[in-house]
Amino acid sequence: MKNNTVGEVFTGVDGLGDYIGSLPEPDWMRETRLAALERFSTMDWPDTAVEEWRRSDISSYDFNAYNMRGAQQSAAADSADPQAEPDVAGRISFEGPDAVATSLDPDLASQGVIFEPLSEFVLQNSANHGGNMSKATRAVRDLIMDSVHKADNKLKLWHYAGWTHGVVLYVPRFMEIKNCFVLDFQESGDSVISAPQVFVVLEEGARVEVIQRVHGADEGVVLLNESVDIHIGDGAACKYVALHNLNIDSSSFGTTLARISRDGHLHHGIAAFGSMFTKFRVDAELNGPGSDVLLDGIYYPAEDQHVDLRTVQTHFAPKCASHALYRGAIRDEAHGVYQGLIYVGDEGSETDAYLTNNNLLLNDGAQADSIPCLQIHTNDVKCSHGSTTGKLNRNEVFYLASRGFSPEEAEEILLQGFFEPIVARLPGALQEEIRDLIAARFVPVDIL
Amino acid sequence: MEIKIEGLEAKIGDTPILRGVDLTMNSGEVHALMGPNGSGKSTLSNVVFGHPSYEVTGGRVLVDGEDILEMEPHERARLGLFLAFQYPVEISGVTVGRFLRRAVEIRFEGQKEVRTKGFLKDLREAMDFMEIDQQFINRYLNEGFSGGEKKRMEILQMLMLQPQFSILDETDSGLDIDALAVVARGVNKMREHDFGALIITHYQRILDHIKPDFVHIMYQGRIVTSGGGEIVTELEKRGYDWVRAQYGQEEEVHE
Ligand SMILES: Nc1ncnc2c1ncn2[C@@H]1O[C@H](COP(=O)(O)OP(=O)(O)O)[C@@H](O)[C@H]1O
Ligand SMILES: [Mg+2]
Repeated sequence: MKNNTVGEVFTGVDGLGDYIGSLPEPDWMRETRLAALERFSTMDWPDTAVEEWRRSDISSYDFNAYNMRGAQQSAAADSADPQAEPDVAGRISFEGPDAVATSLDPDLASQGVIFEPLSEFVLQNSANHGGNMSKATRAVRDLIMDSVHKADNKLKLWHYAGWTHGVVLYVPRFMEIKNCFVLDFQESGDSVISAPQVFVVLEEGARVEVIQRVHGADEGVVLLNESVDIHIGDGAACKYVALHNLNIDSSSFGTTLARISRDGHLHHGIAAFGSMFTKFRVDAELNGPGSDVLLDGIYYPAEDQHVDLRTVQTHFAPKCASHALYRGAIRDEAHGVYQGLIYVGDEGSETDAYLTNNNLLLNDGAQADSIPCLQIHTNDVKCSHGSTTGKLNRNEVFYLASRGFSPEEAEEILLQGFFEPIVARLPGALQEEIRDLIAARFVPVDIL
Repeated sequence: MEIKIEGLEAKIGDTPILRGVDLTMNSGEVHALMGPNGSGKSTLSNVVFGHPSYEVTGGRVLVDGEDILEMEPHERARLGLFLAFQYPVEISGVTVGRFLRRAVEIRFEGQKEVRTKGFLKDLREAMDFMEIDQQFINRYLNEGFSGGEKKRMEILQMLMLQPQFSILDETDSGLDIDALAVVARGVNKMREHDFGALIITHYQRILDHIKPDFVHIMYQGRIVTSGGGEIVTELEKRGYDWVRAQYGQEEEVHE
């Protein structure tokens, strides 16, 4: 094993091989990076000829102009926070790639829950165990290889070759954890790549809630390229909600891939507020019969922000249900794109799937594209989609005004109300935060 | 409170709808406004409240001598005017409780402290009175409500906001006899204080519960005749044909 060269910086693309070589990682992890690098090298950056990227042009990015460095190993241990917070099962906070605080309810730790920074996890499982690899390690490795194998664009492979830091949450069988796990990513710097990787592995019957926050300094330019891999075992349930709020000069790319086994549940949520350019994709694979999925999304781009969100509900098993509800309010010159795909394979009989996308255009000049798509390869399914794009409703503003609400307050209430059916079912710890972000973006348009 | 509508004219697009409405009403009085569909009754309600779709082309609406036509809708409401809509809109994502708490706060701003406990107690009482299930407090306003539930919700709001004068635009339409009695009970409760109402309706039955002091008939954008309860009986017997015959005007034909 090599020594970790703390703080060494590599260029985003050309330095990728050297970066991988510099990391003090065991072979099983290095092999996944090299597998990703190999596919990465053979691919072109996605361009607008591909439907998924048609409305999000990345040709002006020079990814080599961004730099990356790996996590410093000792940072977290030094500042580990033994003080448990109420309602929090565990928390890991990053500044850039460095974990600056970690906590985990000791009861959970003693019952086999693993919740730690990914780089530490990798080091602790560094021996070439071969067949002795721990369950968690094997699960993590399998998730990466699955994602590398399925990746259909260069950005995602770039992430798996060059991830900078991350988290592993592993929950043993039948552990139902009421309190939530919190991941805080604080980004800063100029022309910096941040490529965090989150693993959530739930064994049979486990139950967790995870909140992820990605926020950043007011100044600086960060290129986020994150990935979240989730495994939901038989009958397990995961709620995973991410709040993204980087500064307006930054860019955010990300993919989430959740695999749901028999009778498993996923409630995923994303609230995209920050970044000049955002492109996220959330994939839910319903692999076992009786599993169900709820995908929530909130976006509220302003100024000249560009937000492109894609959901994929993939039904590979019978008797599964999935529902996506994405709502966006678009202001100023901003552009919101939502693409939703329901895919039902020939094993997906008795599927119940739908997706809904609602957009509010708050002024002329704001733009929304809504592209729902159904691909259904079996009969006996209930699948539908609905999408609406409109303005604030004048009659609703008038109704509230007739009750004494000023037009400004009426508009604000209606805007909050537009998002509220989604916000109200997100984890309590995030609700007020998201309502405040919505309120902070509000500018009256005076439609009365 | 005195509401004096003088020569009110309004159009939507290029179509004149109100063609000179004259009507004086005081709190303490109940007025009924009847007239065939399309005669302009809802338009009158909307124009009095300043709906932006209508352009006022003439006349005045005086509230205690002050012309309100230049005021914004919410300023008119804050004078103590209330409109129960013929078709209440659905306000998604805003619960009845949250909406009403804020509306009450606005209505009584500076007048009386709206304490959390007091508000909820008042709301619960008013809901019982209107026979509305308490669970509606946490439902989104009017979303998925039946027609009758929406109408009751309008009257519930009126009870909570205690206006001095209300226009009830066909609040009785589509209600069964029991619901009608509940709605009428709400209006009559308001009459315990200084309160006036303009009840827009097609039917005598609500006026059996709420005795009007004056009855007006609107036709083709004007009040064509006014009187007492006997007009209602007349309408029930003869329909609107005699109104058309007596007051109808040929549409002017423009080339
Ligand atoms: N928003 C509108 N756009 C076009 N025409 C309208 C609109 N609102 C009302 N009107 C017309 O104005 C006339 C009066 O309508 P309304 O005031 O609703 O009558 P009432 O309430 O007496 O049935 C009708 O001919 C109706 O078609
Ligand atoms: Mg009407």
